[in-house]
Amino acid sequence: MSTAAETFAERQAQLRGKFVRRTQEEADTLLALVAKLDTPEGAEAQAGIHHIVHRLAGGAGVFGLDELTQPAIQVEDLIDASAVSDAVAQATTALVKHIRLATARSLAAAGPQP
Amino acid sequence: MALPHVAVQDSKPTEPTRSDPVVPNGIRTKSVCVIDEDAVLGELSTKLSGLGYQVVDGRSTMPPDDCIAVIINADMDPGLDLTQALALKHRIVLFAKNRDFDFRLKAARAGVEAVLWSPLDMVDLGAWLTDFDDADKQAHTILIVDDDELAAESYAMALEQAGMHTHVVTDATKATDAVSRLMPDLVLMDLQMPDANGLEIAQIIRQSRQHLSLPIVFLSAERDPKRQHHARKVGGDDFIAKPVDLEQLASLVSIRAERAQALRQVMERDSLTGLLNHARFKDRLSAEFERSRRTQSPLAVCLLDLDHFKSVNDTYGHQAGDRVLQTLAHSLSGALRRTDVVARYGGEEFAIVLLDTALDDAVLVMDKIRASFGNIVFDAGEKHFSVTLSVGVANVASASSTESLIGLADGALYAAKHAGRNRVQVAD
Repeated sequence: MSTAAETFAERQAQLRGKFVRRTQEEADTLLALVAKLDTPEGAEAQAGIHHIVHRLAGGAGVFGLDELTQPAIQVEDLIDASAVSDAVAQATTALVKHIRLATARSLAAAGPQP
Repeated sequence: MALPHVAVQDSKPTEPTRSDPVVPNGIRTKSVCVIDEDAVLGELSTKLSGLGYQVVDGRSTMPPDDCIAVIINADMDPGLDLTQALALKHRIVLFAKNRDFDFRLKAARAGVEAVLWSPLDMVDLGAWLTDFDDADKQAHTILIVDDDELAAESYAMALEQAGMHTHVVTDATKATDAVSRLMPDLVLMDLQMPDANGLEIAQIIRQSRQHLSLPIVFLSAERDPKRQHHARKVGGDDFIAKPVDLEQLASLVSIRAERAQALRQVMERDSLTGLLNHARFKDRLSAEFERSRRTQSPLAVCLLDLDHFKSVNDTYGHQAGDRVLQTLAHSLSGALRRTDVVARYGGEEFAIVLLDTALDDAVLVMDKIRASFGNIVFDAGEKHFSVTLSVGVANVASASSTESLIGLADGALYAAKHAGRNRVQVAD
């Protein structure tokens, strides 16, 4: 492998690591937003969830977390279709479980982080 | 008419050496290797050095690794075995008498990219060499607009890996400024961003006539076909659905940018010579004038006019005149750096901006081009002729505006003509 290719692979791995860690943090944010869905801040919480899942639906495939694409799309579609908050909450919680599994697997495969 | 077939010898003292491809006076030497008989080699060398190329005799020396092309006379290699071997490493121009299909097929199988027929048309050969010169091809500049910095960075990395230059903007409201500043070949933009969506940004970009042809490729997880259609309608040229395969993304962006650059080439360039046109030259001169003022770097403007060009057209015909213009264009592009700005200013007049070049160096460069071009012998049927040129050179330090800078160069050109032509004159 040439030096340039090594650098490319290294940078790609670094970006993937950043994405995985960001997604882990977003899982916590999603749960906090789900808790607000039935409060006066519900609309804002829903917009927050939409922003995260939209970005995840687009980025997961690029960073090797393909299994998160469909669950993220599902939440996005529910919000776009103005589904009841229970359905959004249920799908988001399911997505969070997927995130926890997928990110743990990805970090384990990448080996210990510096 | 007596023919000045002595150019190679005469111009030798000012030729840069092969080990020094970029000489201090700004002339860049590109080499081509020729495999031909002695008699033809001498004449071809003269013509090629007039186009700014240094000729290597391929019969005695292996072609240098960085040579632009190997020009082979098919008579020297009837079986095309040598041609085939050299084609593995170099781009080949074969010139031949044989126009048979079988011969051309054999040449194609040997890896030959260009076949020319005797008598060799220098304009054709010059055009091939320009095409082959990768140094003149600039990497595409791609502007990436995405609020997700990790996604943007990964696209940037994939595009750069594929040889493109990228700039990332994560704040959508700054995208239009970036377009004006960077003049990218293509914009790759996320559709959904918090401050302004991609469709709105595209509409703002398209408000400027200058950017009507700029390709905008949307990149989005948008799955609603109606919204995808709307995106195309407001001026998005393509729509790539996320998640995207990075290799495919790089390939698609590269193809689109290539086509856009070709289109821009047609719009901004003079069709006969391939040089920048008058309008685009003025834009570039303004930008470079400002830059020179800002950075205090020297800059010279040269106006160059062919001597007695009307009589060339009248005596030898317009086709011959066109060949002279094309050959001069090739000479200029060949002899100058790719960062210099070279344009057909109008008719038989050419304009050049030499960046970071002091007046004395500009005069040296232009005088070398003048001497070299005057030695080229043009053929028009049975007749042969040469054409000289006059140049006016002005220094940025003497001018208060681009208009006065051009005015000074024009005055110097007039003085060169008045003093007897075939010379380089510096503005007072």
